[in-house]
Amino acid sequence: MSRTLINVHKRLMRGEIPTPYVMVQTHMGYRAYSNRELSGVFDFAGVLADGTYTAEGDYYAGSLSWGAIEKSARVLDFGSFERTISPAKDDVLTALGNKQLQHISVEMDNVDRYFSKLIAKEPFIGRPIYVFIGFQTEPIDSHFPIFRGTITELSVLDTMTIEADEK
Amino acid sequence: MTTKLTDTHYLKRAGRYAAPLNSADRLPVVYGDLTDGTLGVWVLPEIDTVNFVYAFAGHEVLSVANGNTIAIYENDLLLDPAMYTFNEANDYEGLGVIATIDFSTPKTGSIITARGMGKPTISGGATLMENIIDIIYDLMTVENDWTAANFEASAKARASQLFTAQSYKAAGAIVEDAVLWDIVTDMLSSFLGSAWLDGNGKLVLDIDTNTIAYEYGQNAIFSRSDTELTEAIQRLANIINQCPCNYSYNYAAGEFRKQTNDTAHADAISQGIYGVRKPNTPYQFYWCRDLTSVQKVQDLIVAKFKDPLYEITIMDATPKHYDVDVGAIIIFSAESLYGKDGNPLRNHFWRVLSVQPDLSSMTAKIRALQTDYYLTAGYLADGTYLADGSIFAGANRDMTIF
Repeated sequence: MSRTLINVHKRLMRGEIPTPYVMVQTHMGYRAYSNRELSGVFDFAGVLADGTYTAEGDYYAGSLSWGAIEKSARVLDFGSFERTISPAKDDVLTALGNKQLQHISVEMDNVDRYFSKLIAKEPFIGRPIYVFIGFQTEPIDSHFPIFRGTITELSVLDTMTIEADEK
Repeated sequence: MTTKLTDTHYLKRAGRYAAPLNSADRLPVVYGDLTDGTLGVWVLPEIDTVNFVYAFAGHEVLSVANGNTIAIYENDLLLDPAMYTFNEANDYEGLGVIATIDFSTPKTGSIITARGMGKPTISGGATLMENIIDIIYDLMTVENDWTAANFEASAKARASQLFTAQSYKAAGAIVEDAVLWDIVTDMLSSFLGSAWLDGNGKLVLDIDTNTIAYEYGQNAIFSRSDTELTEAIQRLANIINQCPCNYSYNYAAGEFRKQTNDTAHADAISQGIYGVRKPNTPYQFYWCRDLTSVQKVQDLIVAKFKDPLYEITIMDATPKHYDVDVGAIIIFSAESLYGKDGNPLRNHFWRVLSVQPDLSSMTAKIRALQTDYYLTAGYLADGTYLADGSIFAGANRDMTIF
């Protein structure tokens, strides 16, 4: 059961295309990856505690953004998944007793061995992964989560493939 | 770390106590009324060979004073209650509250089985837990470490209310280690229910009663300019006009003990057209032992599947409806398909079976099942329309193409 904020709804109905992105929650923090450069709420939005702003509630300390420690355009393919209560191979009645959890494969650019180095120090395996879509200029609470799972397998060559399962 | 649905649920072992017969024996988890039949329904493990104590359940159960009726069998022979003491809430050896049967003499070499009732809705309470949604919640939050936040609260509340309104009664036991997802699926499928994880990772529970909660419960109207009907299938396998059902599972014997296939719950008209159409195997109610509940579900299955239903696939060329999830009711005009009234299925209500988003092209493939409902239009009684039967007052299909 989902609710869409009116601003987002209007923009969708106008035909604007939101941005899909993947968030990997490592032990260090959130890392955001998409198939394009990310800005807006992915940018640093915190303010320095230098006296310029008073703590009267107008500003949140750092939480206006995703607070991602990394954002980059490294997704080659988001893959696809099918969330279903009735697998297509079964008749509808049989499917009631034969549910399936979902799986997603996301392909990332690793030709520069960026992820090979990163995951050695900051493991991805076993960590939560989220797939969102949203407008980069809209608040993060308007971004729509479409998948949440746990990274169960990594294939690390020039392309790093993240395999994740709903749990 | 929170238990995952794909994790195996390990029952408490007899080995946690000082003198068990077999340390690997499992303490059963019992829900609902399992007093049916004339033999024991589940096996009790012996947890204390010194004092001849058996575990009735690995948790508190309803007390006799509050209506629990128990029967204990030794090798399928009913025992005199004078031979044992039943304790519905026994903090045995200080390892947590379980329900126990304490014999006065040893039962060496015997298989002890039981009939009786399971958990109350609250500790010490007088109400037996028989709502399958409450049972799933208890399984996940009491027997496992989930919290209320792991459930989609609105869907859970609605499913619980639907279950109560149908007067369903759930009952069953967990006597073996099993994957939680499989247990939850078995529980819900006994009542035409569904479970899935939404985009937030929350567990969504749903009970299908062949109704739509209210007319404007639809999640979205798919406009013709954005969508394309790519598939419309009617499958013979989906036609069911008589549904034999197995229920009252006996865990000690490993088989169902009851079956119902009453023709009063079949549809003779559909059988006249399509022949007798039954599912490949009798519908299996692992979590129901109540004939009235079984026959209600049987009626719903036949009512839903007695006529061929369209299973359609829609390609949505836009990301406008990414909030549409499984189980949602959507409105889509399939003008090339017609209903029994001869009208095209304009503004028809469809129940979403699956959603397959493509994030690279920002499109989505949606598979949906036909319902009996459509968007209606009312007309003013101002003389414009005659009461000649050509339109229905307030229930006419809205033929506007959106």
